[in-house]
Amino acid sequence: MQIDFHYFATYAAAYLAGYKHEEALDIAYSAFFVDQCTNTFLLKVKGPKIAATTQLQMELMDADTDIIGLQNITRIWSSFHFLPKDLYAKKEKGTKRYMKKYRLICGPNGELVKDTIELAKGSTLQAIGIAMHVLADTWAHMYFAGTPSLAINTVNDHFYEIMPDGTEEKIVFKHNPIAPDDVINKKYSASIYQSNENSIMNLGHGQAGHLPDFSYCVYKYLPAWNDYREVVKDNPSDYWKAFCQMVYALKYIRGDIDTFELDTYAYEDVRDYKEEIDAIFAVRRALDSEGWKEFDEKLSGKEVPEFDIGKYQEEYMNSDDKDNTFLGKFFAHAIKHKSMVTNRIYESGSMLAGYSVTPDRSKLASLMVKNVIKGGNDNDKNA
Amino acid sequence: MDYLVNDDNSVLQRKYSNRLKMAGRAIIIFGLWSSLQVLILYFLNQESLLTFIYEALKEEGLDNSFIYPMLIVLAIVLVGVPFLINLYMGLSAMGEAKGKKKTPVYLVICVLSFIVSFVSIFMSDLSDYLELAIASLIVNVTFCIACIDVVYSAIRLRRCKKQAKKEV
Repeated sequence: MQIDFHYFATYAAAYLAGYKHEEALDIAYSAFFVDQCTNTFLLKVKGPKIAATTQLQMELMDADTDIIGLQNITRIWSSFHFLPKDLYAKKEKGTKRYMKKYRLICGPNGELVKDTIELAKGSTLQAIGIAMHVLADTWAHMYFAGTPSLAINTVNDHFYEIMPDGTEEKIVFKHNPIAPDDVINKKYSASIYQSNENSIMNLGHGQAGHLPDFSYCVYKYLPAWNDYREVVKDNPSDYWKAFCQMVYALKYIRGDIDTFELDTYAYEDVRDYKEEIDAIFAVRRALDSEGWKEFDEKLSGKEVPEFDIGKYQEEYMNSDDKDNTFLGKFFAHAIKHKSMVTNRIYESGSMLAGYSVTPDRSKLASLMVKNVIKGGNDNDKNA
Repeated sequence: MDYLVNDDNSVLQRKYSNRLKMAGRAIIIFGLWSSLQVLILYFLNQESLLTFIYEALKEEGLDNSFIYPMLIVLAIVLVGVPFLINLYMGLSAMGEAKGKKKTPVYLVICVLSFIVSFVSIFMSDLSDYLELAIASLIVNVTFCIACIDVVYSAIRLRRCKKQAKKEV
């Protein structure tokens, strides 16, 4: 998803769930900030590198694709943008190596979504924003995995857009990284085919271009993992469910609902606005920011400012108590969330996101490392 | 409205179309290799067919002005014909994979190519230019597999399409 949904739609969801205007703004800001918190940004503000929640294209081009590099990429993308649906999924045929990647396929209403919401409950507004981003992306990015994999993420020329009148039009992707998609004339771009299994071009939904992020788009294609069976991606329907689920999750986090159940949506709370929201999704355009902003301001009666990446930078850079600044709180929860997801992946028997130490074992691990270092120092002294 | 077409027959058609397309591409690439092999052998100064023919024609008393054009034509034939045959097979396979109607001629040529390649595996001479001989061996084996795949996938695809027509 893009700024239109992560920022403006999240604001609307937070407001409808009962948050005040300022709280909803903070949640929305944090939700979209997940797409901005790159290593480059962290270097600029002197933030912790481990808090990166995304990677720029240039960072990905420079990233190593050795084991350590791939684990780093998988940690970021699987945690924040392609949350795995079922880490214990079974398939009739598949090697161990294949199944580890298969189990990283993103989808809504997986156990990890529940864990994500539970982790944000009782925490900061920034934590809630991060959770909303992750939840929303499980709908938009379903059927793709947050790890570079040709065997999972590649698509072929069997790709059709389903028009409102029911006809199917074949999509032929161009490979121009600079030119934006021309959605009116149905000219879409996508990553170029790369036969290397671990190529960056095979990360996430690169092979399908930006189609998963266009709210108007309904399309069908053959995902590589689905044994020549088609899937349909109905974005207007999925985005509607994502929105309603966000409202439900936010109500739970606020304390209005006792338990968070998967596959549950706050349809009743949003029913009065369905027509307006459907109208936003129906417009054939790359970004719906305008439509959502109008909706937000009508809903709350207050101005919703444009997203400003530099809004909280000075506060963080000049503060003596960084942990209590806006960005400090964001970084703290980003690390916590990434750690949680990495741990779940590790516990499922997969090393694709690297090693993980749970909080109860982290002290022991730290002690062991200190002993090893001390032992090394003693050896040096004796020598 | 259900837009998905996931009945068993459609799934199999997609599977065999994909296999046919990939095998067709492989055959075209192997055709390039065959032509390249002839050129490599010639430039490595190995006793080639061309040298033999040149000496034979010279013994007959023919002039160079007659021999050279003949050799050029022969070289083009030796380099070009294997490639063109493979190109025909590969493009026909890819065309059939895309849904175009194709005669079984390319399949027959595929079977014959398989037989020739299979026999040549056992006739490989590993004594001179060992690396080239081993590479050729590996390529020949892979080429045989590609030929089998083309024939098998084409037959299965045609059967699936026939079945689909019957059901309609």
